[in-house]
Amino acid sequence: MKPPALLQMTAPLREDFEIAYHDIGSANGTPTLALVAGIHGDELNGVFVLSRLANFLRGVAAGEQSGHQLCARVIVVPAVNILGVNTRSRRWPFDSTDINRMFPGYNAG
Amino acid sequence: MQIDHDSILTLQLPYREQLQLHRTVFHGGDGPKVAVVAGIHGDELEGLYVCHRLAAWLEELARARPHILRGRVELYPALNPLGIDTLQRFVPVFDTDLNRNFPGHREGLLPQRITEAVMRALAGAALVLDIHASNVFLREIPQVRINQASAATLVPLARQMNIDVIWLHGALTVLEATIAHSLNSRGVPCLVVEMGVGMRITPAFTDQLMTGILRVWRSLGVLAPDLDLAELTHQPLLADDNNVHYLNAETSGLFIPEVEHWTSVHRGQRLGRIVSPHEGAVQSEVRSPVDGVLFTLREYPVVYEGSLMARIMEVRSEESAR
Repeated sequence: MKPPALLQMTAPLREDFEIAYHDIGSANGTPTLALVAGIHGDELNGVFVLSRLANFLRGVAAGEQSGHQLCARVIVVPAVNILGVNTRSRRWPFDSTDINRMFPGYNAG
Repeated sequence: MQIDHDSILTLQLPYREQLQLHRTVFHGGDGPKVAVVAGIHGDELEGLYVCHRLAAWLEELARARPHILRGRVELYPALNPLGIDTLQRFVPVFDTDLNRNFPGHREGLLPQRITEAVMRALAGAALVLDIHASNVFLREIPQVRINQASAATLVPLARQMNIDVIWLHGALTVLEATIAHSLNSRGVPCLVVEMGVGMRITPAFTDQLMTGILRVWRSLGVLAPDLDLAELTHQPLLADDNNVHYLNAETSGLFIPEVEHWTSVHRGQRLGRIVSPHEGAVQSEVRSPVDGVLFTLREYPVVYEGSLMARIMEVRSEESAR
């Protein structure tokens, strides 16, 4: 199943791309917990941990982890700066900006 | 006439994404195949615009006069797409110059896989143009650079390219891992075009080069011989190791040019000053050592002792030449 995306974008020389995330647990209601990593493309621990955690939580939600039960909806974004992770760039590569200095953001920016 | 957009290589990146090397192919008849490659260095963008203009010209041809294309044209606008995406000259992560990774290796690292795929795709071409755009520091007049070893084949082609300078390099300076050397040594003629400046596009240079490219393609039989094309407007000067003079900065500072790029200069003429942002005095001057033509000019203002400021091709007067 194709995961949901926070954002979809085009670029002149690459495939269209998206920032994928995991939406795990009951689809009803507001998520109780959100976990975010990889805002800086050179910080890989969180990317690894959240990818593993998302995998585990999916297992819990599917009833494959005995003794565990997922009681709430959880959002997991292992890598916000996917382009930076793939190109070993701390910043957002297209304009070399630190996206952790861009919040709360602007939907036409 | 048929137009295809395809990819010559797909590589999986670490996190979800794929790297694809795209090209556009215009198929006409059974005539020769030619190709244009650009974007080997991620900070050189002039060639990407040349590819756009050629694509627009060929698309119009497909609509109006498809029989004119007798051969096959392949456009590869961005051989280093990750570098372009990340504002970098080299290949990100690997920090390597893609143009020092030819002919490549199918099972090598990402840069070698790119170059191997490019070499495979370009096999059999009657002519490949590898378009560069200097770097962010220097502005170049449209020129073709040729190694002496390939001069006999390539100079006659370069003369038709509507460029301003053909620069012949000595055989000792062969850069063996470049696309040009790799192709030429396998019998695929490759001309290296240098023009403009890094991270910028100079549309007038593209216009100039377009005339040359189309005329060369017509002469090779890629385009019909009766196709009407603009006449050449530029005849190249021939530069070599003996007549090119390098001007280097005597002091560090900010370079303030006083002449236009691509003008005639005379011996002793001041081309610009190097000043300090801290004080009013001029730190040093840049003066031409010879009579000639200024074909390379410093674009990026911050300079250091020894920075390249200009290159001048010496042009002797007829009297002294005799």
